[in-house]
Amino acid sequence: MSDIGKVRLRVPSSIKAGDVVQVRALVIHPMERIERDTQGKIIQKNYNYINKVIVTYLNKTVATFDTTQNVAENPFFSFTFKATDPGQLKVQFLDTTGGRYEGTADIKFS
Amino acid sequence: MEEHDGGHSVMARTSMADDHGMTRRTVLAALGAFGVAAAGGLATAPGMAHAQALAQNESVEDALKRLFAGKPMKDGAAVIKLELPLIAENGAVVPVSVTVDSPMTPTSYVKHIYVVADKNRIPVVTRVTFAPEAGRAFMTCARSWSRATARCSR
Repeated sequence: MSDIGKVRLRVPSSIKAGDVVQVRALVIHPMERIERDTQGKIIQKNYNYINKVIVTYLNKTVATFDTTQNVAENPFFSFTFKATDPGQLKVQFLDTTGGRYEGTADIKFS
Repeated sequence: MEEHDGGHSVMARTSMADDHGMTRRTVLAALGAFGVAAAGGLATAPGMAHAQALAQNESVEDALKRLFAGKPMKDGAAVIKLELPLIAENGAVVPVSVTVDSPMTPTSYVKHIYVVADKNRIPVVTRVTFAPEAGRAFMTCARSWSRATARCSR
């Protein structure tokens, strides 16, 4: 699982100023699911899953996802942002064990 | 301050057949309050503490009551578009996407989208918080339904 935390961002190849741009973000993460013992009781432990995704554009938070354990393994998220100026789009993933993974994309106009 | 509609919430419902085709499950995307003036405790709560409070073992009714605190719930079928596959190829990864037909201006914008699965042990799946700069209230997340199915068959 050396790939944990690998983030891929997919932005359209051509963006014009003022466009509302749809972005897909994917992170490699196990997103541990609930485990049960033989009696069917939930094992209490700190499950490792992503519970926050923060999208920033030009250092301003555009959208925040608060996720629970129900989100799939290697989750992907998509969202939009309004491309006003060229700059950096950053997506950060935070998990319950303190892991912090991020991916960035440079937004340029064509 | 700018006008807002008093923090109404709207919701859309759809349903899909699960992996076994035995039951239908209702998915419910409830949309948070419109407008900045409607900012309640939700947006200001510290992220971590709230993330834990978000995931609770409770019934859907309790979850909705907790999230919306008894705000009137309107039918949002006209403004909320909830997309998910009719039959999922892989129950572990089912994309759910929600689009809300609403202007995103600094004075009136969609602040939150909640995705709630009512057969889940923990009904609240995701909460998305938007800033007006998002341009459109749109989100997709890959959601595992097989876990919910396992839960139901118990």
